[in-house]
Amino acid sequence: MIYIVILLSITTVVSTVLLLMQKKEIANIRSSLKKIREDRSSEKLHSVTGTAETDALITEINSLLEDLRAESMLYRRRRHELDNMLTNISHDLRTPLTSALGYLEIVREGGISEEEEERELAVISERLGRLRELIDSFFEFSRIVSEDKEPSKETINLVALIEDSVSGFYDVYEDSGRHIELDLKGTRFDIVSNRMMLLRIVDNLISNSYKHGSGDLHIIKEDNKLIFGNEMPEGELTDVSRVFDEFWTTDVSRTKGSTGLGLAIVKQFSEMLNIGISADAEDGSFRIVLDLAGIRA
Amino acid sequence: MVNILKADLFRIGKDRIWIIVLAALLIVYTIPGLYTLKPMGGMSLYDQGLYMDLNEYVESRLPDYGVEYAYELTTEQYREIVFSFEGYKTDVDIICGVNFPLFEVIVVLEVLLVTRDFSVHSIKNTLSSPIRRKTYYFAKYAAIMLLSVSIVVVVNLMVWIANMIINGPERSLPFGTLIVITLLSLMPLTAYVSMIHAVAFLIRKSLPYSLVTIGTTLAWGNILLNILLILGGGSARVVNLIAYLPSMMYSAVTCTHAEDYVPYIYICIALCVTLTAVSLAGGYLFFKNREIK
Amino acid sequence: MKETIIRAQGLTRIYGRHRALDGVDITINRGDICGLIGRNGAGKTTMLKIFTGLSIPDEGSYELFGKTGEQERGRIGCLIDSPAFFGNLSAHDNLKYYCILKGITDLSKIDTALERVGLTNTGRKKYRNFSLGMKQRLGIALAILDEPELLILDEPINGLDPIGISDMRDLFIKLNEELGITIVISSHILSELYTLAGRFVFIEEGRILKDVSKEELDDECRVSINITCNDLSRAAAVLEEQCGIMDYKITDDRTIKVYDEVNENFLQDRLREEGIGVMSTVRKGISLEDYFKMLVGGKANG
Repeated sequence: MIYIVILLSITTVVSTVLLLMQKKEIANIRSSLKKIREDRSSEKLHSVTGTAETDALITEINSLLEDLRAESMLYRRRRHELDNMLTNISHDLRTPLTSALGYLEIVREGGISEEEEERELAVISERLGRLRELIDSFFEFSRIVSEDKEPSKETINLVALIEDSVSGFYDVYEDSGRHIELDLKGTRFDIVSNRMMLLRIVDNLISNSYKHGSGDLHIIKEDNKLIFGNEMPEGELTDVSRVFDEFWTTDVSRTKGSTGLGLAIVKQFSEMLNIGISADAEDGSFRIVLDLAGIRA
Repeated sequence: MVNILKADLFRIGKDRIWIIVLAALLIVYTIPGLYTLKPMGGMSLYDQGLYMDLNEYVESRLPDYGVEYAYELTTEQYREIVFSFEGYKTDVDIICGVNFPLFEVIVVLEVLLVTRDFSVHSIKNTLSSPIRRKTYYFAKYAAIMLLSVSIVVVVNLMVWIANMIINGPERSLPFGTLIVITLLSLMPLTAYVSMIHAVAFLIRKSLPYSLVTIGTTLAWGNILLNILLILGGGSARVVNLIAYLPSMMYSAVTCTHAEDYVPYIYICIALCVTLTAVSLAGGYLFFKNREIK
Repeated sequence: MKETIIRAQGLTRIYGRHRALDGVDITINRGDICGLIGRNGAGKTTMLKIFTGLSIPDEGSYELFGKTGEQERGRIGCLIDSPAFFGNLSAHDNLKYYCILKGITDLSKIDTALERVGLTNTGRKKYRNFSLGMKQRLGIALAILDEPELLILDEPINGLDPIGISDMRDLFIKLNEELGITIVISSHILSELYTLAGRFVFIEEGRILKDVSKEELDDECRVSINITCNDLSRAAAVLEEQCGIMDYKITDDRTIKVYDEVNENFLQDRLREEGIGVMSTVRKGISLEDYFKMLVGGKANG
């Protein structure tokens, strides 16, 4: 008899303790969730007593909270990019504008020869042209970023498109004693894409290589890959993983005429057109590889 | 709180060697004592003179065996004598006696759970993020209490059952008395654990802590006894108050009807409660704002 | 408006007669990677110990996540001083102990953390047999175990080999970018933190000497001639036209920084000839370590 009583009381004590532990755990989950919601923190839940069921529940809730955290990180990063964009715009616009104003001042003061005045005006016009170019690219970029519309697509001969684009840069390259070497393996390679955007991608890649690279530009097609390769001056490229970031430029002072937007647009367009894109750099050469496997006609 | 307890149990579980050593020690301490009827190294009621009647009875039987002093008796002869004494229970001596050396085990537990945390500096991992100092201090206390209480309960049960087998049920305590004795022996245990816990947080490093506590635990009975003898002018009552654990006195009350021990039991319990409160609070206040290295 | 993670005011910690921290004010925002730089004994560890609750300030106060006291400390992961673990347990068991302690229910976090710091192949090897670098990695694994919102790391790359240092730097940057973890990291070597942190706090004798962003630090260290004058637009034109300088930057309303290698007296003379009032031309630029020495040395002399 006494042993039964003892056995029963032990059972009662154990189950009461377990019950109290679970109760406490549920109260803890509730108050932690409330706190996370009110503080908008990215905290996670922790068990305080830990029975198997409540632990499993907490693990599940935590997975959910982790997803939430990833989402809010993405949102934060986008906002940060926007802030950066504003700061960079004001910086980038300031330098050509200030120097154009300076030249204007000199012209207005007079007392210089006509020939000299002509030259100053040319500089002013060049600076303002640069300013317009900058503003245009900002607008274009922000339009692309904010627009979610699916681009219209058609069948395009990539080889013709590239030749088209290269011809526009021919003079610029030849003037500085550099060349564009094409190795496209044939005259026809059909893909389904948006002509405008694709042209912009190729244009940007060629002009990027002209501005930042040195030596000849090689455009090579290998299977489904299109490779843009050129030499890079020693020490010019510091961080290959960032070349596609908005406003990332190797030219800190921003006087050489780069906005840092060229490759960001390339990236954005490529993603919209389902083209894989990657960059690598080694031993003084820099390559951008477009993967066209997904869009062959 | 529960988390620290669980974590500590997990960690101690990884120290298998300690568990084996502890279990071996307990068996060596207790089981042979059930046959020889003297606990190894512990205090015996008989030695302490609590069993006055038994003492006299054994003395009176010495001539039957042709010896002058009790220690000259062989184990068999001794067993024969005490078995013929009315109402003598063979397990009470071991149960009460073994609880005292068990206190050494607590020192080891404190090393495992607290001072090692300080020594290897892993305490800063614990305190630096989620665990408050108060939680830490009292959760460790709870862990050590839990472990010591379970050791005492297990040992008492083990001895009781082993005695049933070796010496028979008629020489064993009634189950109710066993429970009361166990509960009473938890009183000085609590006081002792609290003191040791406070000392651990005071000294904090394993080596000096072990030196201090193991030494004093071994000697404390004798030292205290001597001091009290001097202070109390040899008054037996004062000596009894400290030297005898309430469980011993209770067993004396139940086994030999020494009713005059009852008030001492209450005084002893009161003393234990005070000691517990004072040392716990003192240890925490000391630890509260301490810099953690 | 960025959320403030740490805000401290007048933090002071006194050991005996030595003021390890002397009225430190610091604010750290969400998403920052803040590098604390100072010599050994400058007060870095003391400061981090206060934030992690291992030390209690004698004066001053601090807030974590906008709240005082201990309630928000669960959102921090940290490595203070050298790593400390139980020698008889393996890496996995040591972390499991802290999982139970902190109430982390998802034990797969242990493997994630070990993988992140590159300690997956230690198996049953006990902590006491670990090399210094492995111990350090395990310390970092514990700090990131719970994917905290704030990571406090005191000299985390001590004892790591060059590859380990670069691995950990990549890890910290990844955690910062992907999980938005705010990081406070201390070191006595500026160049170690240079590629990692976005903000640098120089600390010496318990006081903050300087608090600069990476851009400001770059600017101070880059060799340039800073010209302060009254008419920036014309100065810019003159620089381009007559001195052939293209690499320059207009930093504020009065200053042009010229990065080309030219004689500053030459520039000054030219600008004056054109009737532009030049207030000053200063040549700036210094290596990182020299910059640090200058800061600290300046304090010692003054």
